[in-house]
Amino acid sequence: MRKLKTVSTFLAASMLAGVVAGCSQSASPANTQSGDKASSQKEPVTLTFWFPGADKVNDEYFTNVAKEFEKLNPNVKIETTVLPANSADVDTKLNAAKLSGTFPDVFSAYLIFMGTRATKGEFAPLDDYIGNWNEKDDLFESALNIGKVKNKTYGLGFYPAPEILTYRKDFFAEAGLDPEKPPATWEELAQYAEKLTKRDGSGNVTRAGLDIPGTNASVFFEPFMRQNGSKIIDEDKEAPAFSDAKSVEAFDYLVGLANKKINIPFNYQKKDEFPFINGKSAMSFLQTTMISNMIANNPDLKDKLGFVPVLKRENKVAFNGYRLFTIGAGSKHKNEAWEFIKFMMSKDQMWKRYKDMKIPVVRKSLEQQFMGEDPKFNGVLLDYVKNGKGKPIISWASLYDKYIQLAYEEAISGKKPSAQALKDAQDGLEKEIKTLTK
Amino acid sequence: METTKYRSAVSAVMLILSLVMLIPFGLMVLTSLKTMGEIQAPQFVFIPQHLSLDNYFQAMQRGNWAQYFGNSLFITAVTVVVSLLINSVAGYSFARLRFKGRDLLFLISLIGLMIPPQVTMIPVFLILKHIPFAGGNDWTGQGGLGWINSYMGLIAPYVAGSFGVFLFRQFYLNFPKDLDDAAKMDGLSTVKTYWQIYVPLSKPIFATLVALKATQSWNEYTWPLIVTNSDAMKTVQLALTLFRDETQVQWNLLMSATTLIVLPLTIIFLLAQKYFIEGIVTTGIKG
Repeated sequence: MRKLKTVSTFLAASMLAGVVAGCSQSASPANTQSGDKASSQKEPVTLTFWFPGADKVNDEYFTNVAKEFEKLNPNVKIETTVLPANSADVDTKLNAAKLSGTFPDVFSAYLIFMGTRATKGEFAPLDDYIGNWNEKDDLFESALNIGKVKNKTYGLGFYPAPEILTYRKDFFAEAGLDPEKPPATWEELAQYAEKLTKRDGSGNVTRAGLDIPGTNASVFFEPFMRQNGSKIIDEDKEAPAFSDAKSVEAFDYLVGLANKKINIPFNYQKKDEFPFINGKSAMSFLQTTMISNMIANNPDLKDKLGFVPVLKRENKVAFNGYRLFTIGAGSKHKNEAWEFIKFMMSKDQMWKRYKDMKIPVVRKSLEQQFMGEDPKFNGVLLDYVKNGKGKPIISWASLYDKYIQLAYEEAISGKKPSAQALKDAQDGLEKEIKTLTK
Repeated sequence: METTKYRSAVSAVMLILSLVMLIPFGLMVLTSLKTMGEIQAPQFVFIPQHLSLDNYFQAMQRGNWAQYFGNSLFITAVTVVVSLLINSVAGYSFARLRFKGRDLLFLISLIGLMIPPQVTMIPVFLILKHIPFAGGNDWTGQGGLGWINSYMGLIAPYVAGSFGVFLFRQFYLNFPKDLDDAAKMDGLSTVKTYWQIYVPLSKPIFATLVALKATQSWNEYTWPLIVTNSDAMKTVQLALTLFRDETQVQWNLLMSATTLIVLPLTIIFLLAQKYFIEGIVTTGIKG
């Protein structure tokens, strides 16, 4: 009797299982018919997406946007990794990833990686994808061109990071200057800086007229060299070109200002140690995130900050760093990675990034809307983005940086005249490049 | 009388030095209570205007700190326990057992002390990536990630280490030979002698290594940075980068999180302090 009960239970269970299996089989085709036919046919794909972390809003945006993409593309799963913000740490991680074959499919790269990594073939060329993309003409030229290395495009600029000349309106008024009339030329900048400088009884600067850094300052002085007409690097010939008269003149201008003691020297790499951030300077070149952090930390400053359009000189050019979307050269899912990048470059996502994180837009069709949000600030911002140039994209970028920084430090500290410092630096760099290419 | 005077002078100097050593710790705690406005004020603000624990709450709301603390605690605990076992057995063998090639093997293990970890980092990484049958790898160690982005990857490189072996060996050299003879006469095997005689007598050196290994594992930054890819595997040290972006360090939040991170190590050190000092002193004496 007991045996019979066991057999009948087993049979009943088997039949139930059969019915369930039958139901699920019949449900499948129905789903295919009603659902997205293409996506159900596609094989499941896992994309790895790495991006440098910043604040909570930034990290949440990039994590959530991956989920949004997954919803639209059910066959794609995105594994996001938040990297440290420090580019040296990112470099260490990328080296390990390269060795282990875990290089990300999509990577939000700092501009410096175009020189150090794209030139070594670590990113996939995007030209074919961009060529077939019907929205490419809507992008700013700077966003399209910033990722070009030797006529191939390895990255698409999505996150412009200009350094905007910012000033304190209240300090202008205190010094008898019109707070609504910022300097427009080098000459005016020098005059204003002198007027704005405050010193104590012993002549020590208590409030700088202009932030002029002492070290790690290439991002600060390169725009002055370019504005004055220097190429700095001949990117076509891949040769240094910074010991020319134009660069010397730009260096002399900055050294002259520093000699007049209108600044408090500081390290340009330590962004939160700028005298301007601590209220000890009247003018400074700041990134947009630095400006928004300043206002967030001290809301009283909101109406006290003014922004200077790109200074007029021989060339209209400012510093504008970029972050770019890249695809790993070894990625097995390049098409899906490109779809994800296209999604990230869509108007909706670009506008969301502006609203959430104040990242400037890089689409022409969003320009008016962007200007309408904050005409004064965004107008200046676009001026810097459109006329901006980042660090030179060369395979020996870090070597170049070492020598040009040395030249600046020697000149600003009075160790060598500008011309000599620049000539010695260029000679030294050329020698090292020759050794590298031997 | 002279001795008392001398002792008082020494104590006074030690007290001053101790206070000087506490300054960074004190500044860390004070900064953790300030607002960013106070930190960036033109004039240095020593004591914050309003004492509040807001920064601590805000810091712990960024990211999944329960997970980060859990990871660090687990990794540190396993590393310490396993490394104590391996190091003490190896140290005992090198000090008390006689076998062919013993001194040569010990010399080879000492070479590990002389190679900076930065040199071995990439080779170790590649070995862990090619562990057979782990993380999707086949038997040749190909096809998957091995121990990358796993607890094993974070623990394995730290469980051995020649420094611990050296420390135990030096400690066990102090023991009189009569102890081994007595154990032999009582019929104890080598393993039992180690377990029942040596281990109970090794509290100072165990405590020393607990403190050293726990500090090393808890504070490690570069290795977890390289070997982990996901938020779920992050350790507390890696998580501190949450408060630093390209342009700003949120010092108030960073110092709050750092204060909390320092606490477990402080507790371990205080508990092991007595034995720790004893252990360091006695490893230098050869019996």
